[in-house]
Amino acid sequence: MKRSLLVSFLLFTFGLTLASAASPSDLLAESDARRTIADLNFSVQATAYVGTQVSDQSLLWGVLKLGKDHNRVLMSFQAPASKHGQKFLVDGDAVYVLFEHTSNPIRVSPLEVLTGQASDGDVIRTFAADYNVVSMEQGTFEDKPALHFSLTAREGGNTSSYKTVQLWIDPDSLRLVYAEFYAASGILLKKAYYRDYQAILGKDVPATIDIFAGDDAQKHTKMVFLKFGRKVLPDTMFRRTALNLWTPEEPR
Amino acid sequence: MKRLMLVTAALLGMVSGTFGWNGTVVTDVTPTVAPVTAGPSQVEQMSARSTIQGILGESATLSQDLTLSGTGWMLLDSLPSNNPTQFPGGRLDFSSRLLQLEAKWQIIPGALILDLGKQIIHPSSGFFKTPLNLLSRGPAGNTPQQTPAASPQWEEGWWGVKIVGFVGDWTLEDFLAPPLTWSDSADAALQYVSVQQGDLDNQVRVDWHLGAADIQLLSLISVTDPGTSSASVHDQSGMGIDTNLGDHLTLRGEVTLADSLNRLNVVDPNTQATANQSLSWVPRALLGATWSINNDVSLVAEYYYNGLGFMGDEYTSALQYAKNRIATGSLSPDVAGQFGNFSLARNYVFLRLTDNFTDQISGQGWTEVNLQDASGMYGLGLSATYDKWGLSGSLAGTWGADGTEGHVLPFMWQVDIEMQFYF
Repeated sequence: MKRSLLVSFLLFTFGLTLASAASPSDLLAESDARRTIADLNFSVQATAYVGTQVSDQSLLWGVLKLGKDHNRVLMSFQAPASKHGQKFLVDGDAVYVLFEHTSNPIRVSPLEVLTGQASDGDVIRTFAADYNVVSMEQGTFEDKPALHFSLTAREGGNTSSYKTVQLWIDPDSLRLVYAEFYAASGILLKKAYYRDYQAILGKDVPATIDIFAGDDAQKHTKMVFLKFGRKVLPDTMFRRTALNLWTPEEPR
Repeated sequence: MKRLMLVTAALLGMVSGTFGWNGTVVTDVTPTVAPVTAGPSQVEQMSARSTIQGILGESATLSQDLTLSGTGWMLLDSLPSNNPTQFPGGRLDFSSRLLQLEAKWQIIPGALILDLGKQIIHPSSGFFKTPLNLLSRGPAGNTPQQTPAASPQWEEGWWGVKIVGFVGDWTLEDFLAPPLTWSDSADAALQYVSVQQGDLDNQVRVDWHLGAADIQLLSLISVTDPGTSSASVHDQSGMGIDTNLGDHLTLRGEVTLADSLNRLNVVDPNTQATANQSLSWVPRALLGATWSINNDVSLVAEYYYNGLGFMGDEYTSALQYAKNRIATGSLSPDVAGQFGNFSLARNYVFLRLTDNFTDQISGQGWTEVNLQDASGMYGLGLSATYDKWGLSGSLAGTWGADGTEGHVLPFMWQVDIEMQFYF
């Protein structure tokens, strides 16, 4: 008991020290770094709900490549059968889709929906490279201490699908807890809860992301990461012209 | 016919289950109303056509750097019949093709790739028309597809060798397709595997990822009748670009120039006399945009310039020819359909509005307009997908005054009921 109290005290102290010593931008970058796995190979199940009814379910395999200015993600539908074989490349603001039995990836809007409320960019998202910190305040979220960040998309940034983001981060662990994504018009587009953190490959990763529609609390999409692994692919595989060369693999 | 449909679906399902392959079976029933000649007058006649298409594919990784993939396609076609409930045996047409069969070897992983076999070549990003597809065969089979880019439009590939190199933000590619021809007797069997390749083709493609834009340059050299005294060399070149403008807008543009292309020209519309005509330096171009209004609604707009199309007196003559052809029920060559459906003129626009009503149900409305005579086509479609099944319905129609292209199209309106099964 004493030991756990000591650990809690140290963690709390360390968290506060970290939160007070580092700049808001550094904290945001550190939060990204703590949960982002280089060369991550993942499988994720995305289930869309209307109320409690399942309206759609998909299984995707993907690979992440970390970049200096933005990350790139390859994804492929494994289910349902009607989408099987569709491949995606998310390269900053550019999203490409390659349909099965075709050879030319089509450029689509980053707003294109993967399933339910989840867009391509929601599967793996980082903030520090794409957003400026307007403010950071010590606050609470669901009655727990939280750092509340107000972010705005960088000028000329690579991923600016959302003009502003309100972000709540645990001050101790720097875990992402909750985010609200807004359009340039100020409309709330979606809300995301980051849950079920697990220690994966040396990182602290949210295994469940629950995304709610901004205008309808009944509609939400739960993304659950089923498997994690590493897959090192050459940089050149994360480009449009190589999308038909990529063979998706389930993480081992 | 129904038994055949069931047997086909069961066989494909069994094969896929055994080998872990995946594919789709698509069944279309298409009632069509078209103008036909009945004695001295022209009347509207309804016919119906039923088709079943099946596609089966598999990809296997033999080693870290070597993959094999193949895709087969088949079509059972009742051909148009006056009675939609009957499928006369003699009218049932079967065709099949190996769409693609290739081995990809990453000689230097991520840097140099050798691709050998039958490959689908489709560099164009156009929805409505695809000018950058210099090597093009169009959709496999003459199946009813009046709704652009909606129904599956499976393409047959080209036998050849492709070498791809990645250097920085550049991708360099060379594809060589040798001539592959065979005798008529061999074609009786081989037509179910592949169409023949008459020319020797070499296509060089350069892709450049510049900032947010993708730029591609293409050059196709074709040698017609290679190895003979009548061999001739032709060149087509093109350029394409696409980019994002903010989150909501994607833009694309393509332009190509051919040193010479042939078309069927009308000599006399009254006697239905035609002649082949060679045109020099033929441009074709497409400008397009997709506006994602929100997560569910998007609008596609494209303009197409068809340099091979007709203008002025030639256009008037071609329309008169097409009108006479319908009026007399003539089997003379189809001038109006030689560049594909609804592309006799030079200037067209295409608009399509799509809405995903739910995760399973989507709808669309579209129109194609001939800017030279303000005639056109329109369509409405609704699709639902649930698990392994899909159901689509569409209505396509035409409009245009007498003496316009919309008035000489081979149909007045058409309904398409389509069922898909994915496995």
